[in-house]
Amino acid sequence: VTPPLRTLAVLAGAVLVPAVAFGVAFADRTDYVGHYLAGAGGTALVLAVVAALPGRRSWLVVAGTVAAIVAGVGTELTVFRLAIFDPVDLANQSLGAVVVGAALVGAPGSRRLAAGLVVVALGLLAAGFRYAFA
Amino acid sequence: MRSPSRAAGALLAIGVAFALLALGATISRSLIPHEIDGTVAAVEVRREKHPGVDDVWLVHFDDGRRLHADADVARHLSADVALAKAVGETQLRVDDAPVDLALSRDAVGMLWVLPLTLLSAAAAAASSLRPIRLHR
Repeated sequence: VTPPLRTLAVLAGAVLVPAVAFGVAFADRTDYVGHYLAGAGGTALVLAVVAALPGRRSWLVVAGTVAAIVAGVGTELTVFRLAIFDPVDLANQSLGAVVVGAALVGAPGSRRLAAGLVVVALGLLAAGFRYAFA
Repeated sequence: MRSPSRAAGALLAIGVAFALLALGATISRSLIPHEIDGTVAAVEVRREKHPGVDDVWLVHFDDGRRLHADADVARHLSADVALAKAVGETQLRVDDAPVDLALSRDAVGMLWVLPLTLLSAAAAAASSLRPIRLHR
């Protein structure tokens, strides 16, 4: 297994195990798992830029994750603010961001990893929006 | 400590902070952590993405204070009722009639989902931090 494929497999497993737990624990609150998956997907998209750089960029991964979390605060305060600003939604999407960041924090960057992350990110974002608004 | 390990530690610390935020918010909505002594001015229901499922119940007090409450609690309340309870007490007096308070299913779920999420992040970080083997 090549390093990029191994990294993507670990990332997918690390994101999906809690996602299943969210789905089981909050079967009637699909917005919880939706926010979690969307946070993971948005962060994977941001970190695809970092992953395109060669070598380990651990602190750039942290910075990218924090940037994604801050962007999530912005969307929760504006376009996705429906009834109130919900700290639970923010926490769930930020936890998705942290899981993705953790899976990439020591990974060596490469163009293949970056390309794979874009694909994973789009899948997670699509699933996140589906569960959040379905 | 090597820098990548510190970076992973920083990410996990951020994760712990958000897990505590989610847990604190869901527990707060049970009203158990709050001291309450006042009269309800209004009970407001705001619709979210899934009306009837994720509605937001807000209890407005006549002193301007506002609490986000679980639906199971807020349904017992209406304008002009007097509420009283101490911090940590699991019974709310509504015009002197007792209403039992309990953690919602959301709060109980968070008690195991959030640690599992943090464990998953920690395992992913440990895997990511394994030494890189160079292939010839």
